[in-house]
Amino acid sequence: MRAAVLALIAALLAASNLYTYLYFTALNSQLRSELQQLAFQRSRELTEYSAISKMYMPALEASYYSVAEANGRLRKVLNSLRMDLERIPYNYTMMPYVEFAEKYTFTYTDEMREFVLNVTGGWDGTDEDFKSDLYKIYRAWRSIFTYVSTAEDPPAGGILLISIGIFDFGWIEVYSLEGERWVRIDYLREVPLGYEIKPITVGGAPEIFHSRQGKCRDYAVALISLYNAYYDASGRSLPTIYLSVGGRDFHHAVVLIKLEGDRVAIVDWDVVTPVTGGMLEFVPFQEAKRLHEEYWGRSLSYEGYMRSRPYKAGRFNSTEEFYEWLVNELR
Amino acid sequence: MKVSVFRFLAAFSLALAILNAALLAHFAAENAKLREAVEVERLLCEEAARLHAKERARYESLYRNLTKALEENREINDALMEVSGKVVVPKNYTVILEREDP
Repeated sequence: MRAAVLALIAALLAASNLYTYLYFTALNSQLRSELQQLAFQRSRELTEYSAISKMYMPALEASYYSVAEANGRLRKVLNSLRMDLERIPYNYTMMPYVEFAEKYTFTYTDEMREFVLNVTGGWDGTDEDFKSDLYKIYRAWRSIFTYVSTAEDPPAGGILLISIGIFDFGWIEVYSLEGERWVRIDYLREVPLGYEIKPITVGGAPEIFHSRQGKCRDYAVALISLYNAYYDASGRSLPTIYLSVGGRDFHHAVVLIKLEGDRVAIVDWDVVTPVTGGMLEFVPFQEAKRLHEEYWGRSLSYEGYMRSRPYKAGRFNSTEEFYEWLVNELR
Repeated sequence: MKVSVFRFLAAFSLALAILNAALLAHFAAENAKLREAVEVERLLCEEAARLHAKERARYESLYRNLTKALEENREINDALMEVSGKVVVPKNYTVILEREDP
């Protein structure tokens, strides 16, 4: 009986040993795994920390200081420019140079308007008077205009040009934590030449009218502006263009006025198309071209045009192309 | 015979009891060490995470500053581009420039 009890105790102790071994082995294995995970996590955190502090941060700091320094330099330039503009002692507006040049080329002054009204006495509402006035304006302008082959540029006047010579761009490369990649960003580094606000020469119709001299280009530009002044005063207008004429070793500019369809009048140094009873006459294009070539004693080609309000310009590759445009597009 | 079996069982039980105690002591000690190691590792990991988060926050803050600086740079660029190549036209000129087609 005692031996049986002892055997039972021995069996229980053996089971307890086994249980203790298994229990602790499992528990410790779990702890080892947890330890390993934590070590891995720490290593990852340290790797990321190290990447930020040793790789990304220096690049970011350098980039930031580059941009901040550039901003400081540029802000100085911009502030100085604004102060200079504030010092301009009259009211003004700013516009792109090209837009100004396009608008200004064919504009007219009050003096030009007075000139036109004095010459024509205004429009009485009849076709005859309108055509007669167009001729009178040509004649008056032709009589006071002198051709000079080397006309001096008009003096620089009240128009100022803002010029910023060079925009020098740089780039930075920083790491985006969100995008998890390096990104390259362009920025304005400096305007090394600073800025300049300088008076410029403008050579539009008002200057030409004032000087009453120049080349064929000047003559045609001012005549178109005088016609514009008349059209505005009378309330009636005809499509009137500056026409570039070419030939062998020959470049010239004239004024073409379209009545309707292909009926035109061409005003060169003289009126090329017929003038009847002191009135411009409008003839079919082919007839006008024939008369024009007869006037110059050579074959001519119409190579390009400019018109005003709104400003437009274009080139033609052939007489046929010009004719198509004249009939279908010039209004 | 019975006496010798009894003695064997008694000795075996005693050995098992000693082994049990030894196992318990060994595993308990190892367990305690592991727990301590886990605790230390957890603290180190938290410290590393804090360090990382702090550096990341510093980075993000500087990145935001860079973004603002770049935005300012773009504004200055636009402002300079806006006026570059422009002409300053006195009002008396603009009156004649704005004459419309009749």
